[in-house]
Amino acid sequence: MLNRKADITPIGESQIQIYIDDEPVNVVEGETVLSAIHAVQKNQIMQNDYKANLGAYCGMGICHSCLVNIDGKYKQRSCKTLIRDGMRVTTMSNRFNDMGIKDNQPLVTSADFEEKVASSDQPESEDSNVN
Amino acid sequence: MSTKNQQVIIVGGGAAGISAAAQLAEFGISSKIIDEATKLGGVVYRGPLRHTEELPHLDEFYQKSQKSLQDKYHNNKDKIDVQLETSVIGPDGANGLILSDQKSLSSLNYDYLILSTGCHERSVPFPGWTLPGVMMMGGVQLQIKSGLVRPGEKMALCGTGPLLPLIACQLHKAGVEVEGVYEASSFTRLAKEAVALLNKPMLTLNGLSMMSYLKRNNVPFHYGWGIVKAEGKEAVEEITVAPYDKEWKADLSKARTAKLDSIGIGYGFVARTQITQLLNLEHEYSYQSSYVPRLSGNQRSSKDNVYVAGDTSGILGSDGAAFEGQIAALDIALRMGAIDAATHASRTNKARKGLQRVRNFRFGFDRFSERQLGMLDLPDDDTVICRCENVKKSQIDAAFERGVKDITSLKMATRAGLGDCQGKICSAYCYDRFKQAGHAERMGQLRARFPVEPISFAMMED
Repeated sequence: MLNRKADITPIGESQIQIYIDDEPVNVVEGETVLSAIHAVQKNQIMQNDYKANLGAYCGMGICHSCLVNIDGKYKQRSCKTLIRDGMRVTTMSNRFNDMGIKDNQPLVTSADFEEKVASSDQPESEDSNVN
Repeated sequence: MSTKNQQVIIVGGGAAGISAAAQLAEFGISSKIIDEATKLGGVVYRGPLRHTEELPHLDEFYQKSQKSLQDKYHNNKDKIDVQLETSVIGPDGANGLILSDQKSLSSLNYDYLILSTGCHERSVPFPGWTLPGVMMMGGVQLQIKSGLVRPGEKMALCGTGPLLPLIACQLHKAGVEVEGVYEASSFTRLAKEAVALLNKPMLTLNGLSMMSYLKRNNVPFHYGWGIVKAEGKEAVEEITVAPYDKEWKADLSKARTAKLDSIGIGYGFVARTQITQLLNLEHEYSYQSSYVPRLSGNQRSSKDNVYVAGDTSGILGSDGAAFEGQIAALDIALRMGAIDAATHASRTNKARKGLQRVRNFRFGFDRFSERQLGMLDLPDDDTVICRCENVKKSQIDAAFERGVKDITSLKMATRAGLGDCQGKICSAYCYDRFKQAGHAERMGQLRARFPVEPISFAMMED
Protein backbone atom coordinates (compact mmCIF):
# COMPACT_ATOMS: atom_id res chain seq x y z
CA MET A 1 0.00 0.00 0.00
CA LEU A 2 1.40 3.38 -0.99
CA ASN A 3 0.96 6.03 1.69
CA ARG A 4 -0.78 9.28 0.88
CA LYS A 5 1.55 11.93 2.24
CA ALA A 6 0.64 15.03 0.26
CA ASP A 7 -3.05 15.51 1.09
CA ILE A 8 -3.94 19.02 2.20
CA THR A 9 -7.08 17.83 4.01
CA PRO A 10 -7.89 14.26 5.09
CA ILE A 11 -9.56 12.13 2.43
CA GLY A 12 -11.79 10.56 5.07
CA GLU A 13 -12.95 6.98 4.91
CA SER A 14 -11.73 5.50 1.66
CA GLN A 15 -13.89 2.77 0.19
CA ILE A 16 -12.03 2.35 -3.05
CA GLN A 17 -8.55 1.62 -4.26
CA ILE A 18 -6.62 2.02 -7.43
CA TYR A 19 -3.23 0.58 -8.29
CA ILE A 20 -0.36 2.82 -9.19
CA ASP A 21 2.50 0.78 -10.66
CA ASP A 22 0.96 -2.36 -9.10
CA GLU A 23 0.77 -0.89 -5.60
CA PRO A 24 -2.63 -0.20 -4.06
CA VAL A 25 -3.54 3.38 -3.11
CA ASN A 26 -6.64 4.49 -1.21
CA VAL A 27 -8.64 7.03 -3.15
CA VAL A 28 -12.01 8.77 -2.90
CA GLU A 29 -14.65 9.62 -5.45
CA GLY A 30 -14.05 12.69 -7.57
CA GLU A 31 -10.27 12.55 -7.57
CA THR A 32 -8.23 12.64 -10.72
CA VAL A 33 -5.57 10.03 -11.38
CA LEU A 34 -3.00 12.85 -11.26
CA SER A 35 -3.98 13.98 -7.77
CA ALA A 36 -3.72 10.36 -6.58
CA ILE A 37 -0.23 10.15 -8.13
CA HIS A 38 0.77 13.41 -6.43
CA ALA A 39 -0.81 12.29 -3.15
CA VAL A 40 1.73 9.44 -2.98
CA GLN A 41 4.46 11.92 -3.90
CA LYS A 42 5.37 10.60 -7.30
CA ASN A 43 6.24 13.21 -9.88
CA GLN A 44 7.92 11.21 -12.63
CA ILE A 45 4.85 10.28 -14.58
CA MET A 46 5.56 9.79 -18.24
CA GLN A 47 8.33 8.77 -20.60
CA ASN A 48 7.79 10.33 -23.98
CA ASP A 49 8.69 8.85 -27.38
CA TYR A 50 12.16 10.42 -27.09
CA LYS A 51 12.80 8.76 -23.72
CA ALA A 52 12.53 12.02 -21.81
CA ASN A 53 11.02 11.76 -18.34
CA LEU A 54 8.18 14.18 -17.84
CA GLY A 55 5.87 15.08 -14.99
CA ALA A 56 2.63 17.00 -14.74
CA TYR A 57 3.17 20.43 -16.26
CA CYS A 58 -0.05 22.29 -17.07
CA GLY A 59 -2.35 20.14 -14.93
CA MET A 60 -5.35 20.94 -17.14
CA GLY A 61 -5.22 18.68 -20.18
CA ILE A 62 -3.24 20.97 -22.47
CA CYS A 63 0.35 19.75 -22.44
CA HIS A 64 0.09 15.94 -22.69
CA SER A 65 3.01 15.57 -20.30
CA CYS A 66 1.25 13.38 -17.71
CA LEU A 67 0.19 10.53 -20.01
CA VAL A 68 -0.10 7.19 -18.23
CA ASN A 69 -1.28 3.72 -19.10
CA ILE A 70 -4.69 3.03 -17.59
CA ASP A 71 -6.05 -0.52 -17.67
CA GLY A 72 -3.87 -1.30 -20.67
CA LYS A 73 -4.70 1.85 -22.63
CA TYR A 74 -1.71 4.00 -23.40
CA LYS A 75 -1.55 7.79 -23.50
CA GLN A 76 -4.33 8.64 -21.05
CA ARG A 77 -4.07 12.10 -19.52
CA SER A 78 -3.87 11.50 -15.77
CA CYS A 79 -4.99 15.06 -15.04
CA LYS A 80 -8.24 14.62 -16.96
CA THR A 81 -9.12 11.08 -15.92
CA LEU A 82 -11.14 10.43 -12.80
CA ILE A 83 -10.28 7.44 -10.63
CA ARG A 84 -12.46 4.31 -10.79
CA ASP A 85 -12.39 1.47 -8.30
CA GLY A 86 -9.75 -1.08 -9.21
CA MET A 87 -8.17 1.04 -11.91
CA ARG A 88 -4.61 0.04 -12.80
CA VAL A 89 -2.35 2.99 -13.54
CA THR A 90 1.15 2.53 -14.91
CA THR A 91 3.47 5.51 -14.97
CA MET A 92 6.50 5.89 -17.27
CA SER A 93 4.89 3.47 -19.67
CA ASN A 94 5.42 4.15 -23.35
CA ARG A 95 4.10 1.95 -26.12
CA PHE A 96 7.30 2.22 -28.17
CA ASN A 97 9.55 1.28 -25.28
CA ASP A 98 7.23 -1.41 -23.93
CA MET A 99 7.10 -3.13 -27.29
CA GLY A 100 10.88 -3.18 -27.56
CA ILE A 101 11.09 -1.00 -30.64
CA LYS A 102 14.66 0.06 -31.15
CA ASP A 103 15.80 3.62 -31.65
CA ASN A 104 15.83 4.97 -35.20
CA GLN A 105 13.97 2.01 -36.58
CA PRO A 106 10.70 2.65 -38.39
CA LEU A 107 7.75 1.53 -36.33
CA VAL A 108 5.81 0.05 -39.19
CA THR A 109 6.94 -0.34 -42.79
CA SER A 110 4.43 -0.03 -45.59
CA ALA A 111 4.83 -3.76 -46.27
CA ASP A 112 3.95 -4.54 -42.64
CA PHE A 113 0.95 -2.33 -42.95
CA GLU A 114 -0.38 -3.90 -46.13
CA GLU A 115 0.13 -7.35 -44.69
CA LYS A 116 -1.74 -6.36 -41.55
CA VAL A 117 -4.64 -4.88 -43.47
CA ALA A 118 -4.87 -7.93 -45.73
CA SER A 119 -4.80 -10.44 -42.87
CA SER A 120 -7.07 -8.59 -40.49
CA ASP A 121 -10.82 -8.41 -40.46
CA GLN A 122 -10.78 -7.15 -36.89
CA PRO A 123 -11.52 -3.51 -36.14
CA GLU A 124 -8.63 -1.39 -34.88
CA SER A 125 -7.74 -1.97 -31.27
CA GLU A 126 -9.43 0.35 -28.82
CA ASP A 127 -6.35 1.91 -27.36
CA SER A 128 -5.04 3.53 -30.50
CA ASN A 129 -5.23 7.27 -30.28
CA VAL A 130 -5.33 9.50 -33.26
CA ASN A 131 -4.48 13.12 -33.06
CA MET B 1 -38.67 32.86 -38.12
CA SER B 2 -39.76 31.69 -34.71
CA THR B 3 -37.12 32.13 -32.07
CA LYS B 4 -38.83 29.85 -29.56
CA ASN B 5 -36.83 26.76 -30.33
CA GLN B 6 -33.58 28.45 -31.13
CA GLN B 7 -30.64 26.67 -29.56
CA VAL B 8 -27.99 28.66 -27.71
CA ILE B 9 -24.84 26.66 -27.01
CA ILE B 10 -22.11 27.84 -24.67
CA VAL B 11 -18.71 26.13 -24.80
CA GLY B 12 -16.91 26.48 -21.47
CA GLY B 13 -18.62 26.74 -18.10
CA GLY B 14 -16.31 29.21 -16.40
CA ALA B 15 -17.02 32.77 -15.35
CA ALA B 16 -17.94 33.92 -18.88
CA GLY B 17 -20.06 30.89 -19.77
CA ILE B 18 -22.05 30.78 -16.54
CA SER B 19 -22.63 34.54 -16.60
CA ALA B 20 -23.89 34.34 -20.18
CA ALA B 21 -26.24 31.46 -19.36
CA ALA B 22 -27.56 33.23 -16.26
CA GLN B 23 -28.15 36.43 -18.21
CA LEU B 24 -30.04 34.54 -20.92
CA ALA B 25 -32.08 32.74 -18.28
CA GLU B 26 -33.17 36.06 -16.77
CA PHE B 27 -34.93 36.80 -20.08
CA GLY B 28 -36.43 33.34 -20.29
CA ILE B 29 -33.94 31.95 -22.81
CA SER B 30 -32.67 28.43 -22.31
CA SER B 31 -29.10 27.53 -23.12
CA LYS B 32 -26.78 24.59 -22.92
CA ILE B 33 -23.28 24.67 -21.45
CA ILE B 34 -20.67 22.15 -22.62
CA ASP B 35 -17.68 21.73 -20.32
CA GLU B 36 -14.79 19.28 -20.32
CA ALA B 37 -14.50 19.10 -16.53
CA THR B 38 -16.56 17.21 -13.95
CA LYS B 39 -17.72 20.47 -12.34
CA LEU B 40 -18.73 23.90 -13.57
CA GLY B 41 -16.70 26.96 -12.64
CA GLY B 42 -13.76 26.81 -15.02
CA VAL B 43 -10.22 26.40 -13.81
CA VAL B 44 -10.58 29.40 -11.49
CA TYR B 45 -13.81 28.53 -9.71
CA ARG B 46 -14.20 24.77 -10.14
CA GLY B 47 -13.30 24.16 -6.52
CA PRO B 48 -12.36 20.83 -4.94
CA LEU B 49 -13.16 17.72 -6.96
CA ARG B 50 -13.43 15.48 -3.93
CA HIS B 51 -15.25 15.85 -0.64
CA THR B 52 -13.50 17.88 2.05
CA GLU B 53 -14.68 19.30 5.38
CA GLU B 54 -12.56 22.42 5.11
CA LEU B 55 -10.43 24.47 2.76
CA PRO B 56 -7.70 25.84 5.01
CA HIS B 57 -5.60 27.14 2.13
CA LEU B 58 -8.25 29.12 0.24
CA ASP B 59 -9.15 32.56 1.52
CA GLU B 60 -12.63 33.88 2.22
CA PHE B 61 -12.49 36.25 -0.75
CA TYR B 62 -12.00 33.36 -3.14
CA GLN B 63 -14.63 31.19 -1.47
CA LYS B 64 -17.14 34.05 -1.71
CA SER B 65 -16.46 34.65 -5.41
CA GLN B 66 -16.72 30.94 -6.09
CA LYS B 67 -20.05 30.72 -4.29
CA SER B 68 -21.46 33.71 -6.12
CA LEU B 69 -20.62 32.14 -9.48
CA GLN B 70 -22.09 28.78 -8.43
CA ASP B 71 -25.21 30.64 -7.24
CA LYS B 72 -25.58 32.28 -10.63
CA TYR B 73 -25.96 28.81 -12.04
CA HIS B 74 -28.10 27.34 -9.25
CA ASN B 75 -30.57 30.23 -9.31
CA ASN B 76 -31.18 29.67 -13.02
CA LYS B 77 -30.81 25.93 -13.15
CA ASP B 78 -34.12 25.24 -14.88
CA LYS B 79 -33.02 27.27 -17.90
CA ILE B 80 -29.46 25.97 -18.08
CA ASP B 81 -28.76 22.53 -19.45
CA VAL B 82 -25.25 21.34 -18.57
CA GLN B 83 -23.25 18.64 -20.25
CA LEU B 84 -20.05 17.92 -18.33
CA GLU B 85 -17.00 15.78 -19.13
CA THR B 86 -17.53 16.63 -22.77
CA SER B 87 -15.09 18.31 -25.12
CA VAL B 88 -15.79 20.05 -28.38
CA ILE B 89 -13.32 18.55 -30.84
CA GLY B 90 -14.30 20.48 -33.95
CA PRO B 91 -17.07 21.91 -36.11
CA ASP B 92 -19.76 19.84 -37.79
CA GLY B 93 -21.07 21.58 -40.88
CA ALA B 94 -21.99 25.25 -40.86
CA ASN B 95 -23.74 25.47 -37.47
CA GLY B 96 -22.76 22.34 -35.63
CA LEU B 97 -20.14 21.00 -33.24
CA ILE B 98 -18.68 17.53 -32.78
CA LEU B 99 -18.52 16.50 -29.14
CA SER B 100 -16.46 13.81 -27.46
CA ASP B 101 -17.11 12.36 -24.01
CA GLN B 102 -14.11 9.99 -24.27
CA LYS B 103 -16.47 7.12 -24.99
CA SER B 104 -18.37 8.27 -28.04
CA LEU B 105 -18.82 11.13 -30.45
CA SER B 106 -21.97 13.12 -31.03
CA SER B 107 -22.98 16.27 -32.82
CA LEU B 108 -24.87 19.30 -31.67
CA ASN B 109 -26.40 22.12 -33.71
CA TYR B 110 -26.67 25.71 -32.62
CA ASP B 111 -28.41 28.86 -33.72
CA TYR B 112 -26.21 30.98 -31.50
CA LEU B 113 -22.86 29.92 -30.12
CA ILE B 114 -20.85 31.49 -27.30
CA LEU B 115 -17.25 30.31 -27.09
CA SER B 116 -15.81 30.88 -23.64
CA THR B 117 -12.99 28.37 -23.68
CA GLY B 118 -10.67 30.42 -21.49
CA CYS B 119 -6.92 30.38 -21.67
CA HIS B 120 -3.92 28.33 -20.77
CA GLU B 121 -0.53 29.29 -19.50
CA ARG B 122 2.30 30.68 -21.50
CA SER B 123 5.33 28.40 -21.52
CA VAL B 124 8.76 29.90 -21.13
CA PRO B 125 11.50 27.41 -21.96
CA PHE B 126 14.71 27.46 -19.89
CA PRO B 127 17.30 24.74 -19.26
CA GLY B 128 15.61 22.02 -17.22
CA TRP B 129 12.03 23.21 -17.75
CA THR B 130 10.90 19.72 -18.86
CA LEU B 131 12.10 18.03 -15.65
CA PRO B 132 9.38 16.43 -13.53
CA GLY B 133 8.56 18.82 -10.69
CA VAL B 134 8.67 21.89 -12.91
CA MET B 135 5.03 22.88 -13.34
CA MET B 136 3.15 25.84 -14.62
CA MET B 137 1.82 27.96 -11.78
CA GLY B 138 -1.83 27.45 -12.66
CA GLY B 139 -1.20 23.72 -12.75
CA VAL B 140 0.23 23.97 -9.24
CA GLN B 141 -2.81 25.92 -8.17
CA LEU B 142 -5.21 23.39 -9.68
CA GLN B 143 -3.47 20.64 -7.73
CA ILE B 144 -3.98 22.43 -4.43
CA LYS B 145 -7.42 23.92 -5.22
CA SER B 146 -9.16 21.11 -7.08
CA GLY B 147 -6.92 18.13 -6.29
CA LEU B 148 -6.31 19.06 -2.63
CA VAL B 149 -2.79 17.67 -2.84
CA ARG B 150 0.59 19.34 -2.58
CA PRO B 151 2.56 18.85 -5.78
CA GLY B 152 5.79 19.35 -3.82
CA GLU B 153 6.94 19.82 -0.24
CA LYS B 154 9.48 22.57 -0.86
CA MET B 155 8.71 24.90 -3.73
CA ALA B 156 9.51 28.24 -5.31
CA LEU B 157 7.41 30.35 -7.65
CA CYS B 158 8.89 32.24 -10.58
CA GLY B 159 6.79 34.43 -12.81
CA THR B 160 4.97 37.70 -12.91
CA GLY B 161 1.66 39.25 -11.95
CA PRO B 162 -0.95 39.03 -9.21
CA LEU B 163 -1.12 35.23 -9.17
CA LEU B 164 2.34 35.00 -7.63
CA PRO B 165 1.49 36.27 -4.13
CA LEU B 166 -1.91 34.54 -4.25
CA ILE B 167 -0.53 31.10 -5.02
CA ALA B 168 2.39 31.60 -2.65
CA CYS B 169 -0.11 32.19 0.20
CA GLN B 170 -2.21 29.20 -0.83
CA LEU B 171 0.85 26.93 -0.98
CA HIS B 172 2.05 28.13 2.41
CA LYS B 173 -1.36 27.56 3.99
CA ALA B 174 -1.47 24.13 2.36
CA GLY B 175 1.69 23.19 4.23
CA VAL B 176 4.27 23.66 1.50
CA GLU B 177 7.57 25.22 2.44
CA VAL B 178 7.83 28.18 0.06
CA GLU B 179 11.51 28.85 -0.61
CA GLY B 180 10.86 32.14 -2.35
CA VAL B 181 8.74 34.05 -4.82
CA TYR B 182 10.50 35.62 -7.80
CA GLU B 183 8.64 38.40 -9.64
CA ALA B 184 10.35 39.30 -12.91
CA SER B 185 9.33 42.96 -12.89
CA SER B 186 10.85 45.52 -10.60
CA PHE B 187 8.96 47.15 -7.75
CA THR B 188 9.45 50.56 -9.42
CA ARG B 189 7.32 49.35 -12.32
CA LEU B 190 4.57 48.31 -9.92
CA ALA B 191 4.68 51.62 -8.05
CA LYS B 192 4.01 53.42 -11.33
CA GLU B 193 0.67 51.67 -11.60
CA ALA B 194 -0.66 52.76 -8.20
CA VAL B 195 -3.43 54.86 -9.79
CA ALA B 196 -4.64 52.02 -12.01
CA LEU B 197 -4.72 49.65 -9.05
CA LEU B 198 -7.12 51.98 -7.24
CA ASN B 199 -9.81 51.10 -9.79
CA LYS B 200 -10.35 47.95 -7.78
CA PRO B 201 -9.56 48.99 -4.20
CA MET B 202 -10.79 45.70 -2.72
CA LEU B 203 -8.53 43.64 -4.97
CA THR B 204 -5.61 45.93 -4.23
CA LEU B 205 -6.20 45.65 -0.50
CA ASN B 206 -6.47 41.92 -0.86
CA GLY B 207 -3.14 41.90 -2.68
CA LEU B 208 -1.55 43.97 0.07
CA SER B 209 -2.82 41.61 2.73
CA MET B 210 -1.34 38.69 0.83
CA MET B 211 2.02 40.46 0.71
CA SER B 212 1.88 41.04 4.45
CA TYR B 213 0.91 37.38 5.06
CA LEU B 214 4.04 36.33 3.15
CA LYS B 215 6.16 38.76 5.14
CA ARG B 216 4.76 37.58 8.47
CA ASN B 217 5.53 34.01 7.51
CA ASN B 218 9.05 34.73 6.28
CA VAL B 219 8.37 33.88 2.65
CA PRO B 220 10.79 36.06 0.69
CA PHE B 221 9.28 37.96 -2.24
CA HIS B 222 11.92 39.14 -4.73
CA TYR B 223 10.99 41.84 -7.23
CA GLY B 224 13.11 41.92 -10.37
CA TRP B 225 14.23 38.30 -10.08
CA GLY B 226 13.50 35.29 -12.27
CA ILE B 227 14.30 31.75 -13.27
CA VAL B 228 17.59 30.85 -14.95
CA LYS B 229 17.57 27.05 -14.94
CA ALA B 230 16.38 23.92 -13.17
CA GLU B 231 18.57 20.90 -12.55
CA GLY B 232 18.21 17.40 -11.18
CA LYS B 233 18.95 13.81 -12.08
CA GLU B 234 15.47 12.46 -12.66
CA ALA B 235 13.38 15.33 -11.36
CA VAL B 236 14.05 18.88 -10.29
CA GLU B 237 16.38 19.15 -7.28
CA GLU B 238 17.77 22.64 -7.61
CA ILE B 239 16.97 25.88 -9.38
CA THR B 240 19.11 28.86 -10.29
CA VAL B 241 17.55 32.30 -10.07
CA ALA B 242 19.03 35.69 -10.88
CA PRO B 243 18.12 39.37 -10.97
CA TYR B 244 16.39 40.40 -14.19
CA ASP B 245 17.09 43.74 -15.81
CA LYS B 246 14.31 45.78 -17.40
CA GLU B 247 14.47 43.66 -20.58
CA TRP B 248 14.20 40.57 -18.33
CA LYS B 249 17.72 39.48 -19.12
CA ALA B 250 19.18 37.52 -16.24
CA ASP B 251 22.31 38.89 -14.57
CA LEU B 252 24.21 35.65 -14.12
CA SER B 253 26.94 37.27 -12.06
CA LYS B 254 24.44 37.59 -9.22
CA ALA B 255 22.74 34.21 -9.71
CA ARG B 256 22.10 31.93 -6.77
CA THR B 257 20.69 28.47 -6.29
CA ALA B 258 18.02 26.88 -4.12
CA LYS B 259 17.32 23.23 -3.34
CA LEU B 260 13.70 22.16 -3.70
CA ASP B 261 11.49 19.42 -5.10
CA SER B 262 9.04 21.40 -7.23
CA ILE B 263 8.64 24.81 -8.79
CA GLY B 264 5.75 26.78 -10.26
CA ILE B 265 6.41 28.91 -13.36
CA GLY B 266 3.93 31.56 -14.48
CA TYR B 267 4.84 34.24 -17.01
CA GLY B 268 1.36 34.90 -18.35
CA PHE B 269 -1.42 33.31 -20.35
CA VAL B 270 -2.49 32.75 -23.92
CA ALA B 271 -6.03 32.59 -25.25
CA ARG B 272 -7.31 29.08 -25.91
CA THR B 273 -8.34 29.43 -29.54
CA GLN B 274 -8.38 25.89 -30.92
CA ILE B 275 -12.16 25.89 -31.45
CA THR B 276 -12.34 29.49 -32.65
CA GLN B 277 -9.69 28.57 -35.25
CA LEU B 278 -11.44 25.43 -36.44
CA LEU B 279 -14.63 27.47 -36.89
CA ASN B 280 -12.59 29.66 -39.24
CA LEU B 281 -13.17 32.84 -37.27
CA GLU B 282 -10.85 35.70 -38.15
CA HIS B 283 -8.00 36.12 -35.68
CA GLU B 284 -5.46 38.82 -34.98
CA TYR B 285 -2.08 38.76 -33.27
CA SER B 286 -1.94 40.01 -29.71
CA TYR B 287 1.42 40.29 -27.96
CA GLN B 288 -0.23 39.59 -24.63
CA SER B 289 -2.55 36.71 -25.53
CA SER B 290 -0.96 35.22 -28.71
CA TYR B 291 -3.74 35.12 -31.31
CA VAL B 292 -7.29 36.20 -30.46
CA PRO B 293 -10.52 36.15 -32.48
CA ARG B 294 -11.33 39.50 -34.08
CA LEU B 295 -14.49 40.86 -32.47
CA SER B 296 -16.94 43.57 -33.33
CA GLY B 297 -19.15 45.18 -30.68
CA ASN B 298 -20.98 42.97 -28.19
CA GLN B 299 -18.44 40.13 -28.38
CA ARG B 300 -19.60 39.11 -31.86
CA SER B 301 -16.95 37.32 -33.95
CA SER B 302 -16.43 37.46 -37.72
CA LYS B 303 -19.21 34.86 -37.92
CA ASP B 304 -22.52 36.51 -37.25
CA ASN B 305 -24.01 33.94 -34.85
CA VAL B 306 -20.78 33.09 -33.02
CA TYR B 307 -19.74 35.06 -29.93
CA VAL B 308 -16.49 34.90 -28.01
CA ALA B 309 -16.32 35.88 -24.34
CA GLY B 310 -13.80 35.69 -21.54
CA ASP B 311 -10.09 35.04 -21.80
CA THR B 312 -10.53 33.42 -25.24
CA SER B 313 -10.95 36.96 -26.58
CA GLY B 314 -7.90 38.32 -24.73
CA ILE B 315 -6.71 37.78 -21.19
CA LEU B 316 -8.72 39.82 -18.70
CA GLY B 317 -9.37 37.38 -15.86
CA SER B 318 -12.61 36.06 -14.45
CA ASP B 319 -14.18 39.40 -13.45
CA GLY B 320 -13.87 40.70 -16.99
CA ALA B 321 -15.01 37.37 -18.40
CA ALA B 322 -18.27 37.60 -16.47
CA PHE B 323 -19.09 41.00 -18.01
CA GLU B 324 -18.17 39.82 -21.49
CA GLY B 325 -20.41 36.77 -21.15
CA GLN B 326 -23.22 39.04 -20.06
CA ILE B 327 -22.71 41.39 -23.03
CA ALA B 328 -22.81 38.47 -25.49
CA ALA B 329 -25.97 37.13 -23.87
CA LEU B 330 -27.69 40.55 -24.03
CA ASP B 331 -26.95 40.77 -27.76
CA ILE B 332 -28.43 37.32 -28.35
CA ALA B 333 -31.48 38.18 -26.26
CA LEU B 334 -32.05 41.27 -28.40
CA ARG B 335 -31.72 39.33 -31.63
CA MET B 336 -34.11 36.67 -30.36
CA GLY B 337 -36.64 39.35 -29.52
CA ALA B 338 -36.59 38.60 -25.79
CA ILE B 339 -35.71 42.19 -24.88
CA ASP B 340 -36.28 45.54 -26.55
CA ALA B 341 -33.57 47.86 -27.80
CA ALA B 342 -33.81 50.21 -24.82
CA THR B 343 -33.37 47.43 -22.28
CA HIS B 344 -30.51 46.06 -24.32
CA ALA B 345 -28.79 49.44 -24.46
CA SER B 346 -29.09 50.23 -20.78
CA ARG B 347 -28.06 46.75 -19.59
CA THR B 348 -25.17 46.57 -22.04
CA ASN B 349 -23.92 50.00 -20.99
CA LYS B 350 -23.96 48.95 -17.38
CA ALA B 351 -21.96 45.81 -18.17
CA ARG B 352 -19.54 47.81 -20.29
CA LYS B 353 -18.89 50.20 -17.41
CA GLY B 354 -18.09 47.25 -15.17
CA LEU B 355 -15.85 45.82 -17.85
CA GLN B 356 -14.05 49.13 -18.20
CA ARG B 357 -13.29 49.23 -14.47
CA VAL B 358 -11.82 45.74 -14.67
CA ARG B 359 -9.78 46.80 -17.70
CA ASN B 360 -8.40 49.94 -16.01
CA PHE B 361 -7.28 47.84 -13.08
CA ARG B 362 -6.08 44.97 -15.16
CA PHE B 363 -4.16 47.09 -17.64
CA GLY B 364 -2.19 48.57 -14.75
CA PHE B 365 -1.09 45.07 -13.81
CA ASP B 366 -0.56 44.14 -17.44
CA ARG B 367 1.79 47.08 -17.94
CA PHE B 368 3.62 46.09 -14.76
CA SER B 369 4.00 42.47 -15.80
CA GLU B 370 4.38 42.89 -19.55
CA ARG B 371 6.65 40.14 -20.73
CA GLN B 372 10.08 41.20 -21.94
CA LEU B 373 11.94 39.27 -24.59
CA GLY B 374 15.19 38.97 -22.62
CA MET B 375 13.87 35.61 -21.42
CA LEU B 376 14.39 34.23 -24.92
CA ASP B 377 18.08 34.04 -23.99
CA LEU B 378 17.42 31.52 -21.22
CA PRO B 379 17.40 28.24 -23.20
CA ASP B 380 20.75 26.88 -24.36
CA ASP B 381 21.33 24.94 -27.59
CA ASP B 382 20.20 21.62 -26.15
CA THR B 383 17.11 22.92 -24.38
CA VAL B 384 14.02 21.22 -25.75
CA ILE B 385 11.54 23.79 -27.05
CA CYS B 386 8.80 21.47 -28.35
CA ARG B 387 8.45 18.78 -25.71
CA CYS B 388 6.15 16.57 -27.76
CA GLU B 389 8.50 16.29 -30.73
CA ASN B 390 11.80 16.82 -28.88
CA VAL B 391 12.77 19.83 -30.99
CA LYS B 392 15.77 21.62 -29.51
CA LYS B 393 16.62 25.28 -29.55
CA SER B 394 19.55 24.66 -31.90
CA GLN B 395 17.07 23.27 -34.47
CA ILE B 396 14.85 26.34 -34.14
CA ASP B 397 17.95 28.55 -34.53
CA ALA B 398 19.01 26.62 -37.64
CA ALA B 399 15.58 27.13 -39.22
CA PHE B 400 15.76 30.87 -38.49
CA GLU B 401 19.23 30.99 -40.05
CA ARG B 402 17.86 29.31 -43.17
CA GLY B 403 15.40 32.18 -43.45
CA VAL B 404 12.17 30.77 -42.00
CA LYS B 405 9.83 33.70 -41.35
CA ASP B 406 6.50 32.05 -40.56
CA ILE B 407 5.28 29.47 -38.09
CA THR B 408 4.00 26.97 -40.66
CA SER B 409 7.43 26.80 -42.32
CA LEU B 410 9.03 26.47 -38.89
CA LYS B 411 6.72 23.55 -38.14
CA MET B 412 7.61 21.86 -41.42
CA ALA B 413 11.33 22.49 -40.95
CA THR B 414 11.59 21.28 -37.36
CA ARG B 415 8.37 19.39 -36.41
CA ALA B 416 7.83 21.92 -33.59
CA GLY B 417 4.09 22.02 -32.94
CA LEU B 418 3.30 18.71 -34.62
CA GLY B 419 2.89 16.63 -31.48
CA ASP B 420 0.04 15.65 -29.19
CA CYS B 421 -0.42 19.13 -27.71
CA GLN B 422 -0.74 20.66 -31.19
CA GLY B 423 1.77 23.37 -30.38
CA LYS B 424 -0.07 24.84 -27.40
CA ILE B 425 3.13 24.66 -25.36
CA CYS B 426 5.90 25.63 -27.82
CA SER B 427 4.05 28.20 -29.96
CA ALA B 428 4.35 31.03 -27.40
CA TYR B 429 8.14 30.80 -27.53
CA CYS B 430 8.14 30.50 -31.35
CA TYR B 431 5.89 33.56 -31.78
CA ASP B 432 8.23 35.56 -29.54
CA ARG B 433 11.22 34.46 -31.62
CA PHE B 434 9.47 35.69 -34.77
CA LYS B 435 8.54 38.91 -33.00
CA GLN B 436 12.15 39.42 -31.91
CA ALA B 437 13.33 38.80 -35.49
CA GLY B 438 10.84 41.38 -36.79
CA HIS B 439 8.44 38.91 -38.43
CA ALA B 440 5.38 39.38 -36.21
CA GLU B 441 3.36 40.68 -39.15
CA ARG B 442 3.96 37.70 -41.38
CA MET B 443 4.53 34.77 -39.00
CA GLY B 444 0.90 33.65 -39.08
CA GLN B 445 -0.91 31.44 -36.62
CA LEU B 446 -0.06 27.85 -35.78
CA ARG B 447 -3.24 26.13 -36.93
CA ALA B 448 -5.26 23.92 -34.63
CA ARG B 449 -6.01 20.49 -36.06
CA PHE B 450 -9.10 18.33 -35.94
CA PRO B 451 -9.69 16.63 -33.56
CA VAL B 452 -8.68 19.16 -30.93
CA GLU B 453 -8.71 16.40 -28.31
CA PRO B 454 -7.34 12.91 -29.02
CA ILE B 455 -10.04 10.34 -29.78
CA SER B 456 -9.73 6.58 -30.07
CA PHE B 457 -10.50 4.63 -33.22
CA ALA B 458 -13.20 2.76 -31.32
CA MET B 459 -15.11 6.04 -30.88
CA MET B 460 -15.36 6.55 -34.62
CA GLU B 461 -17.02 3.22 -35.33
CA ASP B 462 -20.61 4.42 -35.26
